[in-house]
Amino acid sequence: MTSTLAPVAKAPPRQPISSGSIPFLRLVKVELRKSTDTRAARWLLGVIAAVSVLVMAIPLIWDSTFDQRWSDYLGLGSVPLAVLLPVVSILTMTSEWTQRAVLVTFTQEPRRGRVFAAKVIVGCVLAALSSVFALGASAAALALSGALGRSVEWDGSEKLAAGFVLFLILNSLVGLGFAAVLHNSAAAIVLFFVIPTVWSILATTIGAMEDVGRWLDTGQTFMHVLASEWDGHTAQILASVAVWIVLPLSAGLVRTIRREVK
Amino acid sequence: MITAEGLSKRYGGTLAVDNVSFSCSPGTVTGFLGPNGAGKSTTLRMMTGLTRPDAGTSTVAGHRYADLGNPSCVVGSLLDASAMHPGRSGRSTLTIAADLAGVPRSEVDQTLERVGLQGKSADRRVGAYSLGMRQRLGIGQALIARPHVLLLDEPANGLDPEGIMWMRRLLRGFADEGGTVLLSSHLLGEVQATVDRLVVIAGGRVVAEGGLDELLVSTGLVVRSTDVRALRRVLDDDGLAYVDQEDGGVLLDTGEGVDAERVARLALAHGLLITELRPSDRTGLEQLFFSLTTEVAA
Repeated sequence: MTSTLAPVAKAPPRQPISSGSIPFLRLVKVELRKSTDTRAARWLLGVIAAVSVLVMAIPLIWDSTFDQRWSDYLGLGSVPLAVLLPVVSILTMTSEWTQRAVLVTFTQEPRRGRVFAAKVIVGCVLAALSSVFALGASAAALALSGALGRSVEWDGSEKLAAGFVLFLILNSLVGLGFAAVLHNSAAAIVLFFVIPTVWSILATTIGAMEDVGRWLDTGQTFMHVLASEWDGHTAQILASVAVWIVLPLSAGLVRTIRREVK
Repeated sequence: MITAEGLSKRYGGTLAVDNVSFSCSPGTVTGFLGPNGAGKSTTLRMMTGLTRPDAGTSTVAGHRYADLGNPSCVVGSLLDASAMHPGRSGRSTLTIAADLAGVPRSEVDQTLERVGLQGKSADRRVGAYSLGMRQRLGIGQALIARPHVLLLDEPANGLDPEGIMWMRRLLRGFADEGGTVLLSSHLLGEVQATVDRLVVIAGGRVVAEGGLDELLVSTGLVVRSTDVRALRRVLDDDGLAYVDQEDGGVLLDTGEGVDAERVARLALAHGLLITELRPSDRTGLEQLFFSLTTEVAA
């Protein structure tokens, strides 16, 4: 803002402005409501819940080809969630730009950075809640498997559960990064799937890129998070977080604040 | 109270808004009138913090828009009624606006009733709404936190005659309670019966501003004769400026010393039979507005 935007000196007698700022928690609640109260959003969340439950049926039915261990159930459960949850996060960030409802949101809260932050938090909260739900579903499936008389192995730990939740949150944050930069649902979803995949293929097939891949291929680094193998990989994980999450979210924040809303 | 001071915005080589200044006082409804592309929406977006002005300032109730902590309690705005999520019901859309503004949920039902969307229509998806219903819902969003100021961009678009009457009463009542209203339109007839004041914009500049009564003063004389060619010749000889009308009459510019009596005396002196001699229905503003619209279209 330049100094020319300072309040006009000959301001009229002021009407009492009773309104303080909008509390940040209220912004988060409203954003959470917005990302869950449409039919499309409910369908998507319903599908995610159904898929997390259904995928547990695979080791339960074909028990002979699967190890009946909690970590294997979780690994299987993480696959559909890693694909679907970022879509929820992306839509949280982009749908208002695509529908142009930001026009209303930003007139109600002109400090766009706060709205942006609330959307990032909501994306993470939805990822966390869904992954906790999947944790429960996998534990229930394993218990059921045990009740059916199989020998099951409760190899899980808080560490494994935390790794599972954190992995899915990081995935969603990568989606939020694409969404924040692109402001367009379709483009963000497509590029979220295409770019990291192509990058991952390049990093694992081209010899010269193997070193880079160990640091910046989320297909490798975030797997360490899922497996809770932080020892010796912390720097690599953080490098991936910086490039795939911090960088695009920062660029997206700048774009959100500067972009003209039409 | 609304003020704009020297607002300017350039897009590429075009100056979309050029040094626009005006103010609106409490208790009045101001029409922001101009042809399409005149810079109305850009000006309103600058006043609501959605577009950054290249120069100039604007205030609402004495504050810069960005400094209003919870703007919807001070100023309600409707900038584009099509900018709503189609998958949400009208009630849900208003609930979000109410929650964000921090007003009780009871305001949602009251507001739905106020904008005529109570009952079944409240629970239909916005995607199934007509443009007129979206305008009503948008006005509801603007009113939800009971602000003192309203900024409305083309609110009459898509409203049927009954809807326009309704909006007229609503805005009149709002101003009579001490509120300030600024609404834009590209049709003079649409706002003429609603507003007290007009700010006319064309090509990004304010070209006229004032009370409705001073801007809508009638200008010109309609003159008709049984021999229109002779009438034209007489007027030409006397150095009077006029334009031919499609129906065979002429529209004479009135000004200093040009009035009905002078025309009647000229006709008498030349033995012309005058069949019609009256002030034109057209007003100076209409003429100005018409010339602006055609200029921009050309």
